[in-house]
Amino acid sequence: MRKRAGMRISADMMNDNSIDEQTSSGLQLEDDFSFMSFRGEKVNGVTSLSITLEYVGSNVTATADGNIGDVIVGFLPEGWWPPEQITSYFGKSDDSDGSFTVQTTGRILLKTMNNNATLSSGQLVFLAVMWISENN
Amino acid sequence: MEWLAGMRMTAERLNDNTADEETTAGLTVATGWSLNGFQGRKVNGITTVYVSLNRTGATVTTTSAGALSAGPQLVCTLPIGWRPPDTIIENFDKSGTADGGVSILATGTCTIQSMSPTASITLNQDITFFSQWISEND
Repeated sequence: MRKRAGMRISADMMNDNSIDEQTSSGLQLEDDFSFMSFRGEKVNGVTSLSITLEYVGSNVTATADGNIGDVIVGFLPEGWWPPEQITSYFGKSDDSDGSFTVQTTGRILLKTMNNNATLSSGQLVFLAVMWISENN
Repeated sequence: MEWLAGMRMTAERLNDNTADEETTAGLTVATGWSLNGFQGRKVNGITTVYVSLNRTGATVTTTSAGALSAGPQLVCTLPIGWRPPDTIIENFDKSGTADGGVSILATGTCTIQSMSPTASITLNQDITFFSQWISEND
């Protein structure tokens, strides 16, 4: 909870860590992804994002080394971009995993996946990431 | 550090970020696993959990594409008060030789669901994962 001018300071207020800001809208997706859920939260200088999408494009198959090229997922809304590029981890329909990158422009890219795994239409992609956002 | 009514506000106290709450107890371990270690911490509305388990059951194998051969497998359940508000997918380490994915649900269940292709978890091998989330006042 953001402190506001005129608020009375109390122990309860000092202990309060309820959300400073949250959103579930503004995520822009590429045509190959269909929206299921988006949750952005900020508290005490930390931002957390949780995104669930359905893949609706043609098959993407990882090489024997796990490379899938750069699969562009979409863009985060302004105000929800990390201060530096972050690489985190995604799950794919309970049967595979991989890495994704969030750029400082808010662009999300899937980068790698389990060797030989295939992302096919109708499968779900789960992404979660956190970073220190200070006062942004 | 929790603020209490009547406390005097000082710069030192305002800058204090020591843990508000910690635990090492209450993790329920699924059949086929034993507990190496569990640590939960909360500070300023953020919760972190560290879990390390040892395989005591039959070998867990994966396909050539990294899916668990027998499907997703429950490994443990986080105690009430130490569960995320929403599903989180995290990475786990398998005895330093492979990695995989573990889903952590709002119900506290932790389920491994994928691993490096053709890798296996054999008797006495460990899996370790760490997760964090905004927990607000929970």
